[in-house]
Amino acid sequence: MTLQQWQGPATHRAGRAGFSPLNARPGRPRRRRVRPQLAGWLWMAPALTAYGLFVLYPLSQTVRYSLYDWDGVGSAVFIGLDNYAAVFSEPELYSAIVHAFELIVFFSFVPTVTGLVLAAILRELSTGAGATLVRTLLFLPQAIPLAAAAIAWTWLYANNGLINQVLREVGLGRLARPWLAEFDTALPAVGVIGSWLAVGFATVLFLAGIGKTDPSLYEAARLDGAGRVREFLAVTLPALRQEIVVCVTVTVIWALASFDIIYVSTRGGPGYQTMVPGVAIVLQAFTAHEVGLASALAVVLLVMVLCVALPLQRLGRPE
Amino acid sequence: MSSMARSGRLRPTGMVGTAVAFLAAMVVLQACSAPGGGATPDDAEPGAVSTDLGSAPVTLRMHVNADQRDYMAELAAAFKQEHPTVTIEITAEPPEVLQQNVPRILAAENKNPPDLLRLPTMGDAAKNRLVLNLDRYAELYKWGEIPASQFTQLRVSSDGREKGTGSLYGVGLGFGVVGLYYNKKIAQELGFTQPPATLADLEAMLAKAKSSGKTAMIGAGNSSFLFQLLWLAHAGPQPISEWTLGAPDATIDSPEAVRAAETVRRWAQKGYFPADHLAIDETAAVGRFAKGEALAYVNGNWFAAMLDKQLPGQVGFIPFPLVAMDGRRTAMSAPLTYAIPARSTHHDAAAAFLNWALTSSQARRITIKSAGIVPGGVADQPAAEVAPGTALYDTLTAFQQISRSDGLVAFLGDASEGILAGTLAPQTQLLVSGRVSPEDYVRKIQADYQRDLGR
Repeated sequence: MTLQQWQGPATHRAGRAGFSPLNARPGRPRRRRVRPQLAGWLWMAPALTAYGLFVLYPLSQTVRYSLYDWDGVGSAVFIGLDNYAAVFSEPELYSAIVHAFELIVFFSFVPTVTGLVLAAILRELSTGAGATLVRTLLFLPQAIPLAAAAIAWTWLYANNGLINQVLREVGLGRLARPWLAEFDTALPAVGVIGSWLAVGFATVLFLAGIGKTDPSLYEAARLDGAGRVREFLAVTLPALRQEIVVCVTVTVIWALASFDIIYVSTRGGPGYQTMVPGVAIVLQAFTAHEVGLASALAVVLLVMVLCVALPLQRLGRPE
Repeated sequence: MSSMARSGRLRPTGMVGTAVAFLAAMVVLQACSAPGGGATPDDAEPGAVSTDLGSAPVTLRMHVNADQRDYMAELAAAFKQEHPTVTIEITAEPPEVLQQNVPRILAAENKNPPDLLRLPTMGDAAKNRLVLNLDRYAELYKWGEIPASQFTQLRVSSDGREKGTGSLYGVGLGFGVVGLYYNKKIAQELGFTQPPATLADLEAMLAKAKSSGKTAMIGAGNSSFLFQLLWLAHAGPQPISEWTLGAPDATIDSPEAVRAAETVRRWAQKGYFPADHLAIDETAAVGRFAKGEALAYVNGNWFAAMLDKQLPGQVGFIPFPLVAMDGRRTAMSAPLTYAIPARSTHHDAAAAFLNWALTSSQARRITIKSAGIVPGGVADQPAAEVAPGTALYDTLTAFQQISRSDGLVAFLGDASEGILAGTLAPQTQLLVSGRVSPEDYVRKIQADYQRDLGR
């Protein structure tokens, strides 16, 4: 069997199976028709296999489990969409979703705004050891394991922790309280941990964006008599459009899918005050052994993230 | 369902579209077959049982909680001296890691399953026939002579829904028992020379401590121990036992339980707990009691040895006082339970070890000295020599008193797998902070209990 003979039917099959008809143009050597396509798939094969095996397959399993009442080991009972109904009817579960959206303020809005202001200030200091030091300090939270950071923050927030000690020292003892344990302060308190974490990320991202902006734009603005605020609004902000979209997307996903900080610092308490979908999924799946319900909540979380992230991506595309 | 509906509007284009189509295809392909269930053996009863360990060397593999490693290592060494052919290999893991992995350890189709396993609750594992039915060994080793209440929590009905009836699936080597620790020094300063005999006595002591500027009682902010003890104090052991074991029609929505919840809330409102009560976890609670911060502390005998070390001669332990002083005592108690996985190939040797740990006086001494808990087995068997006047001595006495009045009940938190973290802990935080009424507190616990048990 010659190479030509072997490849003939293969081309034919590939064409029928929906591979690009462009390759079927006559007058070109036959083996050229398949190679680019086949090679492309071959090059992608390792990544596709890994993606299919470790992302798509588990994802499809999660969707499948969500339709069953299952303890994770024994026999499962098909219950249709009952788990989804539970997610949206049980107050403990849907309040977790509400909390995730409240956290967006702390995880996304505050860091983005703060990051923009800090980046604009740091641009002017961009030379010198001071700026490098500030950049390093701001980015440091990214280099600390989240669990360790959360533990450190629980110490800061404790009844005799640093925050309350400072409050008492300056005569504001009335405000001192166990921040993570009180119903009214627990959610904002874990939110602040998220803000602390994300501000450095946002600032460094925006600084990089400013760095690639044409300096002549700033010069032109100055020559036209723009002040700092005007310069920020007219040059920096438009230049950072894509970085802002990236920052908001990433931090919104952090907020919606938050787990580590809350699992370590409050476990969703006091009451159900700081319960978020990530923690609820783990508790349902591994403590209560309600694998079906946990899977339904996970699917809802995924859909929530997609609903927020995909439209944001559209905003980021240049016109 | 709003976010589900919204997802329908996303136009599936490019990679997203391919992924969605792929996912949908996989789900459709699999949806007709239920997950799980395939690995379940038909029968979890051993074939032949024997007390004869043979002469060939046997290695038993045992999975234990990390905090019990030393205790189990001591038991294993002592057992090997009596039975040189049996070696016990211990794998210790943090309790939460082990308990989350138990279903997988038991169900895994590996060729080398563990032979002994720490397993706090038998329900799902027994229902799925993953742990060995021990009825034949109970007969062989005459465990019928041991007080039946020691095995109550380890019996499971064949559908796995009800405990306390049906076959035996585990053995409790030792027992935890919850009661009232009190600081003798603070009590004396307040003018009390005797521990409280009734609930009214206790409340008077707490009030006196509060008015003298002391912390009256300390405990974890999310702990339901105090509520359960107060329910026992008002209702006696019967309804609580039925509820924790999942008896049909059992309910916590009763006037006695509401009174117990009211008492917890009243004590919180009167300031008997520290100001940062909600911020206190179990570790912090016992740590602060061990520093002499509070008059009273509700928890289990497992802290007695540590408290004796921290505050020598200062800590006493009594069964929680009841409403009336009629000599009856009751408390929650949990066996330190070990089970034999159904796939174990050395179940004779594993059962021999459990029987030895339960009945040998040397093993019972190790249980007290090393684990600091009350050994199981026949009640009149000699216990180790423990000095009177210590909290440890008090816990052994208290267990005997409670055992004699048949007052041992299981923990509320063991009633279902999800109830402790999912309901009792958050609801108790809501109760002590006055955000849920005593009536709604018990109603919610009952509702979640019924949902968990599929009723």
